[in-house]
Amino acid sequence: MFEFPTRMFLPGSDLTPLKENIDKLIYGLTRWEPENKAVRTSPRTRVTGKNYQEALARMDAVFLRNSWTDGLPIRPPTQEMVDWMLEGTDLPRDRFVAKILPRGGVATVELIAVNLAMAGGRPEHLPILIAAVEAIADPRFHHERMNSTTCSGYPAVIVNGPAAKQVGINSGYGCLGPDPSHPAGGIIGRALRLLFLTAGGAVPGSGSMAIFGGPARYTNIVFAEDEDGSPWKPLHVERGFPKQSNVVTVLAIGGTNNVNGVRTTTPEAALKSLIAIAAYMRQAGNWAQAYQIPGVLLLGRNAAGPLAELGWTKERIKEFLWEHSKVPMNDLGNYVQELPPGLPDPCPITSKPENFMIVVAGGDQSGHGYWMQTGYSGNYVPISKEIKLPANWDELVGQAEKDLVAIPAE
Amino acid sequence: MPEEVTLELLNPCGIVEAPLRHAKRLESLAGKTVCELSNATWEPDRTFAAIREALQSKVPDAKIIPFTEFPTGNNGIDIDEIADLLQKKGCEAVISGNAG
Repeated sequence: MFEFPTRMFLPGSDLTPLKENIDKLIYGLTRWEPENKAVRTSPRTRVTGKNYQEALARMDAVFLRNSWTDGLPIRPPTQEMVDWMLEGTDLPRDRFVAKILPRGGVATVELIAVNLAMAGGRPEHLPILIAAVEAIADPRFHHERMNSTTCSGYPAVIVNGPAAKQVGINSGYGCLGPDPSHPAGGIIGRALRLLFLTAGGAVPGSGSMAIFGGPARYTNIVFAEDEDGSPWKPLHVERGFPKQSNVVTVLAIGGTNNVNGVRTTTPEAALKSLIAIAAYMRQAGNWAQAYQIPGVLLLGRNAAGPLAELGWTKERIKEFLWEHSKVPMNDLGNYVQELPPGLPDPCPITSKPENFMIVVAGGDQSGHGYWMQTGYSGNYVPISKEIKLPANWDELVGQAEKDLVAIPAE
Repeated sequence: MPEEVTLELLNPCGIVEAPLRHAKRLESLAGKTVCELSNATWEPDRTFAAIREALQSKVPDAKIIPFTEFPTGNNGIDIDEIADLLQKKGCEAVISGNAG
């Protein structure tokens, strides 16, 4: 096969390489056949240093040179470390989980554990990561588009059920960002990103053409719903799972906005807040292409609780937002061409109110909401998968509690 | 002298298994029908025109059905119905131009 240089596909570029390589293109259309390899075991790489620190530095250099990392230092994926990660699942290590695109590397359970080890993971993270990979690899999600497109999309992974708390995935203050008290979300999200880069080959400028990439691409977004603080049905129950089940729900996100001024203690303030939230949603975006899920609205427990007390159900909020986030066609610019024909002006940002997703998460105080707009090119279908916990789950989380207990600094 | 440290590391990339399902291979494009599919980004007017011209100069008797004869855009070409349409038009090879 022949790879044309990326620059050839830029506006106004020189197309001579196309003509010069037309024989290769013809070969690709005729006699080329894919090479069938069925071996699934991971090959190994050795690095040596005069001491451990030098060996680690050489490992980082080798992994960087091969585009096997995200650019940040990693933990060494040795057999011992990977075997430890594998304690987090009852699945056999060679079990196929997914093919990660665009490269198409086969993510076996072991390969997922390798990437988790690199991200600094622990065994109790593995079942959540595997469920997230299963969800993202669902054909309805179109992760090949998310990983390769010019849009700078990345997955949000919303975790529901008791396992989220047991593992320490943050649902409170700073749940979308770094948190030394709740490192699990960042680690699982980073492992997912490493899989996209390594197995998926979604490396900037080759496998991934994302023009900006975006800061959330380092760890994606992995957080838990604040089910205890929610006055409404949690997301996984809304999506048909039993309350006590452990579930991940993934959706591709293109951008986020902190929504200021969300106060909900009086009917008037609540109304103003919802109007303000709708205003943040009222923008041209990738929602237009498939006209499906426009994004996820996050509300903290002290915004959601009073809203519910004032009679705002999730359904009523969704209907209100649908009505008030309509965009005048003129404001959509070139995006108009991506819309299905025959839509009214102003145009709703999704075909029906039910498409809005609302999740309760974030710190205790009210005052802000958070809008995560769907992004990339494709159909925006959230996918939920049940997390399969291993038989030794209680042991694993018990050990994690002991290992991660705060040790006072000397 | 302290001993050297060696780390044996598992490769994180995984094996690429080529898909087993692919169309029957052709000996050549002579006399064949080649169809174009575009997701309407990265200037398909220019790139497909250049491919068409170069292809036609090498295989003058190949019939090329341009992308304008098919639905375009991600949501236009990434659907099951496209396979039926390609078959209906007698397509024997497809050039799919995707980006965006």
